[in-house]
Formats: sequence, C-alpha cells, structure tokens
Amino acid sequence: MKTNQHTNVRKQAAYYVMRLYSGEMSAAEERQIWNWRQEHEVHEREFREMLSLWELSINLPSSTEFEQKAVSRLKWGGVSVAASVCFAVIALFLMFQPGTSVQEVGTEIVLTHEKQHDKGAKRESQGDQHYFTTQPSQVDTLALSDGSVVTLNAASIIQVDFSEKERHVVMLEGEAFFDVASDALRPFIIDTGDKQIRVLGTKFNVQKSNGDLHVAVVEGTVAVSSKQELYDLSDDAAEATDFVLEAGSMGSFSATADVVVPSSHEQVTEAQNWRKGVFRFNDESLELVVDEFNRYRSTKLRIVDSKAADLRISGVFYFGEDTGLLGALRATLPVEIIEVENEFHIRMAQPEGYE
Amino acid sequence: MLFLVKKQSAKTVRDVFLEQLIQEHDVALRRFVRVRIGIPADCDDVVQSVYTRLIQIDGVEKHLEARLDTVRSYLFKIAANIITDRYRKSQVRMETEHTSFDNVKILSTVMAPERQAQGKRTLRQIQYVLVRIKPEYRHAFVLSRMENMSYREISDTMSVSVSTVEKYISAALFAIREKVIDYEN
Repeated sequence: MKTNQHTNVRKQAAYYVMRLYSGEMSAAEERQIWNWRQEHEVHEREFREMLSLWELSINLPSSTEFEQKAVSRLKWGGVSVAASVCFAVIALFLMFQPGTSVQEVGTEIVLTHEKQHDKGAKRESQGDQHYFTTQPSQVDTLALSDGSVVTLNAASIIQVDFSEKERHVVMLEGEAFFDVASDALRPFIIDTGDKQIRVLGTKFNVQKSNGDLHVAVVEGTVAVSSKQELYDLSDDAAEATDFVLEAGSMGSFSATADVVVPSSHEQVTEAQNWRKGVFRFNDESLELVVDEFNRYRSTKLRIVDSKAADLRISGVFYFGEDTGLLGALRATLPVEIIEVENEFHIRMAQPEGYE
Repeated sequence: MLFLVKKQSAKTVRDVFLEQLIQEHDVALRRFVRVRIGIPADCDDVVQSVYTRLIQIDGVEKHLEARLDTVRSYLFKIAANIITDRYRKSQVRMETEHTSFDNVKILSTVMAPERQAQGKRTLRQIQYVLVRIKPEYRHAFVLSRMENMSYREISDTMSVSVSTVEKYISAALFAIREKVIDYEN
C-alpha cells in the first residue's frame, strides 16, 4: 500500500536524480543527498530505482527527425488506445500545442496532422492497428513516428501498423503520397491488396482505384510485387514478378496487365498534383475530370448526358474553387450545369429555343 | 589525480583542449561520479576511465567544440556508461561465483537478451507514461534526456525559469516511477 510518506520519498528521489544530472550540483547538495540516502534503506533503494529509469530513458526513440520537420499546424486527432499499446515516439511531444489534453493523445503511430483542408484525417485504432480516413473534401498530412510523412488524398483509408521488424501500411482505398524515412533495418511495406510495395526510403505516389494501382516514383526506387508470389519462397519466382520502379517512372497494375513506363518528370509530378491542391488536366475526358473532382467534393458533379462524358479538357484548376471550376466548364465546354438536389448535373447545352 | 597521456613533443591543440576541459569540469564530474556510484573510494578510478575513454575518441575536440554547452552532460554520459558496465560485470561475477569460467560465458550471453527485453518493456512503459503526463513535463523531460539539452537551454526553449524546468523534469520522472513499479523488482 502506498502512503503519503512513500510518495514523498519518491518525489525527493526524483528531484535528487534530476539535480545530480544538472551538472550544477553544489558541495552542500552532495552532502544533503548523501545524508538522505543513508537515512533509510528505502531512500537508497528509491534513489537507485530512479537512476535506472532516468538512465534507461536515454534509449527512447530519437526525436531529432521530428524537430527538423517544420510541421507548422498541428492537430492531434484520434481516440485513446488501449493502455498496453504503445509505440509512442516521444519526439512529437516536442511539438505539442499547449493545452492539448492528455486524453487526445492516444496517437502513437502518427505524430502530427498537417491540416490542409477541413479537418484532419479521422483516426481509429484497434489493438496495434491504426486506421486513418479522409473525407471526400479532405487532404491530410500525417507525420509517422518513424519520420516518414504520408499525405492522404481525399476519400482515402490507410491502416498503419509499425513493428520492430517492419513498417507496414495497408492501403485500403484512395491515394497517398509517401515520403519514406530511410531505415535499412525496418523496410516500409505498403500492401495494396494484391500487390506489395517495398521501399527503404523514397518519395512516391500510390493511387488505388477500381482495382487498378498506379505508382509514380519521384525519388529513389521502389519494388512492386504481386502478393501471391511472395508466398512462393523460391527466389526466381519473387524476382520474376518484381517491378522495380526508378525515380521518374510510373507503374500501372491491374488484374489483366502490369505496365511500367518510364515517364517524364512532368508526368510523375502531375501524378501527385493533388497534394498541392492543384488539378492539371492535359486533354482528359470530362468524365475523368469529374471523377477526380468528385473525390474532393461533398456536392458531387454528375454527367447526365453520355455525349458530355467524352468532351476533352485541358487546364489547371485549383482545389476548393468551386465556382471557378463550374465557371470554367461552362465557359470552355458546350455544357449546361444545373443544381439538382445537392448535385450538379452536367449535360450538353441545348440549342436555343429547343427543349 | 589526473590521468592524461601526453606526447613528449609540444602540446597539441588537442592536449590543450583536454586540459582545459578537465580543469573546467573535473570538480563537477567527480561530484557526479561520487553520488552516482555511492562508493566514494571508486571515484578516482571511474573518473580516470572517463578521461581515458575521452582521449581514445577520434576527433573528440572537434566533436565537443561544436557543442560546448553539453560537454558536461557528455562527460556524465560516459561516466554513467562506465559505471553501468562495471555494475553489470560485478553482477555477473556475483551470480556465478561458484561456477567455472565456461559457465560465466554461457550465463552472460543468456542473461543479455533477457535484460534487453526487460529494458525494452520498461522503455515502452516510460513512453506510455510520457504520452499521458502534462505536455510541459514531457517536453522538458524529452529535451533533457533525448536532446541532451542543459536545463538552462531548456528554460530558454520553453521560456520558463530554470527552476520551473527542474520542477517539470522531476515531476515527469516521478510520474514514470509511479507507473513503472516492477522495474528490476
């Protein structure tokens, strides 16, 4: 049973250990500590326990990499996780907003959310697994505990599960840009369902839509492999199905075909334009443009006229500029846009006087 | 007694640097070692080992020159390592007093991972506590332990007085101790 007296002994021991390491301890203090320790064996024991904890804590994960990341706006989201789960990287705590309540800080895997649009990604945890979800109008940047940064595009879901052996991310839906911190001992693995992407430290974009997977590499090298073959232990099988993507290349993977194409810098950059809240379309169909926009919108656009779907568009659009986009479509395409019950319907403009 | 290996020739920049370093920090280092080990008689021995180790570090003067404000905590760190090593060795010796030399070897390799695992568990507990205490406690503690900042530097960073920093750090340590009850039993 713990008594007040015991608490006081601990507080005293903690204070003395802190003073011991201050480097400023006076001769009088040294005597004081010495006398206190000799007063009672409990004092001596507490002092040693406290020292062990203090010295052990130097082995906590390093925090430097987080300091370097000038994440300006911080938002701690999420729910507290079970007490036993703790992969915490302490560093992040450096970046706490004053007044953040402790309950908010179940966050062990993700340190910070850099808010870009609306609120931050929603976080849910089940045991060691942490899910991050963005809404259709959200883009959110997550600083992971290993120093990697993931920018989640709208309407995306990822699951993050870091262990001592590997950094595992499951991409359930949507698109994400990964800036992976180098850690040769702990590979970063992205599981996209039937493919696995392995990296050691690089920047690349992953888009998963309707069973297709598009990977664009900005920096470094990533390997994409089919998961079935991963269970085949022979080296040949694994190598045969590995697609190695170098910086500047893009890979498209689907159930029927895997294509890796060296791409221009522009194309690779384009693949991650969404990060900057910019859409750049180069002679794309209206259908694709609308799909892309709808990922960010709560008020959806809908093409109600199949002829309109094939109209071509080129140009740069900025995120969130609702009227800008609609105005641009009206101005450049022969279409009408009508607001119908929380949706915008797009159809070919009717010739005048014709109904 | 200072222990310093000097070359016959004229003093190098490095010798001068080390001499100054010892002059400036020797008293504090000795005080630290005395309190840390609790056996004043062993103090000289440990302090000598600290300086010996310091001399063996390549480019130590350059390394330390870059972070003059943390030289003292660097010395403390070396001393703490030396003390921990000794303590560990004497533990193993005690545990194996009546066994043969071969058994000592086996025992120490068997012991190591177990201790490591214990250490990792405790570290996780520490992390668990740190995410739950007041941000300012955690902040001060982390800057001190992980960033190796002096209390003075922390007080500048956090814009609070040095005594407040000390209050924060000991409060964090106390909170850790309260939760990590079974450490080393």
